[in-house]
Amino acid sequence: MSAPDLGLPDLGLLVAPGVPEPLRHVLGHVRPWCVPRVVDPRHESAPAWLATAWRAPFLDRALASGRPVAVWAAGPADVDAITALAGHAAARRAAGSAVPEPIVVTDDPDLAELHGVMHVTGDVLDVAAFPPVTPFVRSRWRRAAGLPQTFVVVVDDAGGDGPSSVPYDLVPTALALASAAVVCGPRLAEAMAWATPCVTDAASAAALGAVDGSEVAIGGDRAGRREAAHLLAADVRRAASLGRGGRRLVERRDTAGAARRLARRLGLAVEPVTAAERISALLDEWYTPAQATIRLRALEATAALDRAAS
Amino acid sequence: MNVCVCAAQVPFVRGGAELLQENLVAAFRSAGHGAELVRLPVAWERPRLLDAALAWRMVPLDADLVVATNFPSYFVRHPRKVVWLLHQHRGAYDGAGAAWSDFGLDDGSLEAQRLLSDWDCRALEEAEALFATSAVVADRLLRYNGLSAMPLAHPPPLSDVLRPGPSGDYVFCPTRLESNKRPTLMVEGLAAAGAGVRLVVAGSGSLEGEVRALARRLGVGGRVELPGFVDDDELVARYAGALAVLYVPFDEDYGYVTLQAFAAGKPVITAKDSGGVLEWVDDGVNGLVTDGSPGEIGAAIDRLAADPAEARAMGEAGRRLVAGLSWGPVVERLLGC
Repeated sequence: MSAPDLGLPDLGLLVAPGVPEPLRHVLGHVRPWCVPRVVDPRHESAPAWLATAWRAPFLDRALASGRPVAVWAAGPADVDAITALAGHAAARRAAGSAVPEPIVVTDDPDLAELHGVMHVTGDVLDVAAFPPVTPFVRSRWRRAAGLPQTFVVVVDDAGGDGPSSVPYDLVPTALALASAAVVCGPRLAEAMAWATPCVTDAASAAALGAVDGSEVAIGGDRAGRREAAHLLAADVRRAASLGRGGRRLVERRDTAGAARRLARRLGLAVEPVTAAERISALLDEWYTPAQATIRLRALEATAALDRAAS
Repeated sequence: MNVCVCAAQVPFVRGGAELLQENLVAAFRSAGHGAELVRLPVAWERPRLLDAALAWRMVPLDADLVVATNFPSYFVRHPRKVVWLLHQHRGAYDGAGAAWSDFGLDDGSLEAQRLLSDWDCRALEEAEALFATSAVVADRLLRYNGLSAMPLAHPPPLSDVLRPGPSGDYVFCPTRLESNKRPTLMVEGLAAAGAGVRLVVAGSGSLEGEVRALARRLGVGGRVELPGFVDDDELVARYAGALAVLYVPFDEDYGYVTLQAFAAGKPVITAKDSGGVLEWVDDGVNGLVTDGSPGEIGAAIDRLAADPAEARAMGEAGRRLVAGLSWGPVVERLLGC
């Protein structure tokens, strides 16, 4: 049953007590494709199901329904339990009727290596809100703004108890313009979303799964991090590589992207139909700003086609 | 294997890029593969710059492998995409701010640069392997986009017919008469050299009138010959009869002229900012690397004119250097990913 005011398919929720926080964030981003709704499979059906734990009530019925099902797993034991439940449900189905393999969703990085498991991080950062800026373009922006070509900033060093060189309200601007930045703590993800070449501490890097030399540079103590940032600012090749690596990492962790992937795997994401929709979807995949010239030109080019088709 | 070589098409323009793409297709076919050249038109003005890139994202290519060669063809989508990069859109990168680029420091330019560099990163990262035609091109990619590409050299056009010949009384350069090729610098260099050596520049372009006027003004009008476009037979003959090749472009991507000169057994006089040319010219061994000033260029010309034996020895060294270049290894590397 679709929510009549939205016209979107339902995502039937089977809720066990204590919805995991990362899953809560993902559910907050599925609205473009479906409407999460708590549904009792004994009395209603849904196009697809999501159980917040393998112990969620009536999960076995959802599994036996033949509809796509996703189940949250907190660890390896949960994966075993889900597999066993799916096996039982398959046995209950009429002969010849297939039971889809449940989609295991988890924030356990070790489980993420398993085939078919969907890994989410539940990061709250809206990656689409941060246009990545390569070091070369940053140098052009600094030149236009009359800033020095070497522009190293320090943001929230040592987890918040260290001095910052930047006033709080200027942090986004500084991160977008910096030739390199020392960023520790929660703002590291934001800096990486800007594609800022970052120096950080081991704990901040570990929290994001960032690898030294690939997505960030890990400095030692506070003085060491500042020195590392100045060296990074002077090495445009390394800065470009780390900046790009950091951006790739936050995109992999992007919760909105994870929600889109989940909706697709559950068969709830409506595939684009018109030329404009297809092109728009392509542009969205690459975080192209809404006001970008290329969007307008693409719409102009396809408007006549879509009018004819309709 | 069926391979599609993807390339940008600038209507009514034909140059080194087109030759490379056609020769690559021929090389794949010689190796027993099916190969086609797929080209889409491109416009270089900033407002239209991404049109063709988006078009490439929509084009369906049924092939076992696609090899994309230049902007914006590397935006093609394919499960097996290899990029052998000739160049990105230089007007947005190293050419930004130059007279021939429409990328300045205004807000529109800066956002266009930001978006293009981000798109370039994404399109090129899709490739299962990333090659560049030269270390210069690979270094630009690393500096501007943080991506690593492996330089992969290839033979120049006519490498199978170029041949040495007796050194004549002229330095030669086949090149377009455009600002990045610096034909006026060649004339200034000749003017700084002693009498007795001529300059032959075979090619056409927007600077032809300026070059002729400059030669007259510097008193070397009678020693500068601009035959315009020459066919392959004449090109081979001009190389063979030259004392040396004078090639001083600014930050060249690869430089066919260098390799053709060496295939013809001629030393190359170049400049320290000539880019990809410097990956081949070894100062004092197979050519002379000047500081790019007319005075040093003139001195280099005089040195080779005064010692033809040294010129021949340098030319022979260049010929040995490029003797091993062939398309076979290129095909193997591109297919072997």
